[in-house]
Amino acid sequence: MVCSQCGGALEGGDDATVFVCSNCGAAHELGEEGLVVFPAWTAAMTTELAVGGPVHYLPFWQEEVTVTALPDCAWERLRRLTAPQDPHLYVPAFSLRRPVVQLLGVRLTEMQPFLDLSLGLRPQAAGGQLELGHPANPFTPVVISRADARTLCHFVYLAFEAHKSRELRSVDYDLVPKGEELVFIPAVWDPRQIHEANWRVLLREFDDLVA
Amino acid sequence: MGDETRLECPQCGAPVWLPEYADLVECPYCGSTLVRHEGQRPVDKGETTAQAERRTLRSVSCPQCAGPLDVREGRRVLRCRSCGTRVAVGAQGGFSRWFIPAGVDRSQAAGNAVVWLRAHPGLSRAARRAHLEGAELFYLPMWEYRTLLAGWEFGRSLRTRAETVKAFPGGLFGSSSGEQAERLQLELVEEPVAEARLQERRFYQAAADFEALGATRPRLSGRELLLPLLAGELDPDSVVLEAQGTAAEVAEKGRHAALTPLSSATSPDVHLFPFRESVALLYYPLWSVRFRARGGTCRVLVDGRDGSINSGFAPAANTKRIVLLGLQALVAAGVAAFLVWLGATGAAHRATMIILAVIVFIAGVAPLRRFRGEAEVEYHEPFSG
Repeated sequence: MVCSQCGGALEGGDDATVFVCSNCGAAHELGEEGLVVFPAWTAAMTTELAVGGPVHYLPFWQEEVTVTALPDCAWERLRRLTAPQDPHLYVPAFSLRRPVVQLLGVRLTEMQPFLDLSLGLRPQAAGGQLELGHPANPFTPVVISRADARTLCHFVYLAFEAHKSRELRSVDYDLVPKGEELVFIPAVWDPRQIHEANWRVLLREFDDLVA
Repeated sequence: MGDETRLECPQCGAPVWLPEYADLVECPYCGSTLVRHEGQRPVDKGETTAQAERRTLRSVSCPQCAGPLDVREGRRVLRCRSCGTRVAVGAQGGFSRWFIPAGVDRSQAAGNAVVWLRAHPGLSRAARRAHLEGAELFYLPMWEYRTLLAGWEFGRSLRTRAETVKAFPGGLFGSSSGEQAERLQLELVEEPVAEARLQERRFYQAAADFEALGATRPRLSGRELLLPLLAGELDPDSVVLEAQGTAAEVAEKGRHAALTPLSSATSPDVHLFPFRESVALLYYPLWSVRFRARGGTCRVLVDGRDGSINSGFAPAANTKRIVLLGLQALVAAGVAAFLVWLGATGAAHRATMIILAVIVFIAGVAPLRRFRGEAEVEYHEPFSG
């Protein structure tokens, strides 16, 4: 598999659903007929606290969705907070483990962090080495495809509603995914961050949780 | 039982034989991995459209070195076995075929069957001394539906709550000495249910009539070693049963089973979403070991994967049961006769004695009417089917 833009070798694990060019950093996914190049984004580290340990860039699908739900539901309250923009749903794209998808997805959705995004996977962040899965590479392989993310955004949405309501007995909603972006967000592995599935997200909005 | 189709390798033109049960074959001349092509080629004279479709092969060799690609279930990125180059392929429809390699050979299967015949209760003496007649390896097709399931189940459930409460002194439950007594109070409480699901679910279904073979569907955990079914990989002496049903039917049934709520909530509000659905056809090895005994034949089906006994059929031992039943009837008749004698000789309770005698006689003799000589003992592996 070679990059459609520069001809460089595409990297990714055996379970990967997104392949990254080791030369130019372009992201490719499998379409119906073959590989399709698409834009991926890298978020800058905005934390104001000290960072310990190696920084990983975790992939997330930032989902743009249309939700029709009851006016007093958690999503509607969040929408009023983020108005005039609609909130995004975040689906972790590096793991299929339930606690990771649920905790990290809910926390990012709840926080709606400001992301200072730059296009592509910056090779300099990886020290010129972009082979995904390599210990020296901070970019974590993407194992959740775009289609999977569209299903999992229902899971994250319901997790968000369940997290925000104490005695939820039913959820009446209609969710339609409109589009999504692949965003790599910096984080460090920290087992004390159990509410973020052991990852400390290196964004300003998460600083008070650390402090 | 699979018919073989003669085809041509698109790489070298060599003749290739592809059994009906397989979709993949390795060309014996150039080593190319070939798959059955669903597309249609021009129909030759004297053949139907379906035949033209079935008789086409496509090479899935590496575009860099023409080496064979490691074809894997559900994978759209294949790795070349020669140069390691990865190749992305288009979306595949349909289902994949796999087989579970036989871990037990003919002699081990026969040995396990002999042990079963000697140890299983209820078999006749002739069955225990039966002579081995032959053993045949069967590959039984089974459908497997796999999916990942994401979602939540909401609702409410009732739970019994135990609580220790203090009773008032002198009250209804109080002690007369004035001390406070404690009592256990049980009450039903309603609790909300909110359970997250993100897990794999599997559904298995027999793809052939296992009962015709006398077998029961083997248990599968989903962690068994599976190998892609290439024509020629299976033992040429084995019998491969033809698969029945379609992948679409299995997927529909599997999806229905997977979407069944797991929580114990009453009137649940279920939001479950399947994704990464796949259907595969698995071929399971089973040895059919035949024995010749004086009172008939014995047949033991040995699991070809681990050597356990799947099913067994052997002549039953009836002599002991007949003797026990006869003794029971004799005792009942004797007691009944004694009661009749008592009734006849004694002046009091004559009617009672006669009634008792009739009851005892019927209770003792009735099992004789129900007795049927069992021709054979039938055993099936528990928790399967």
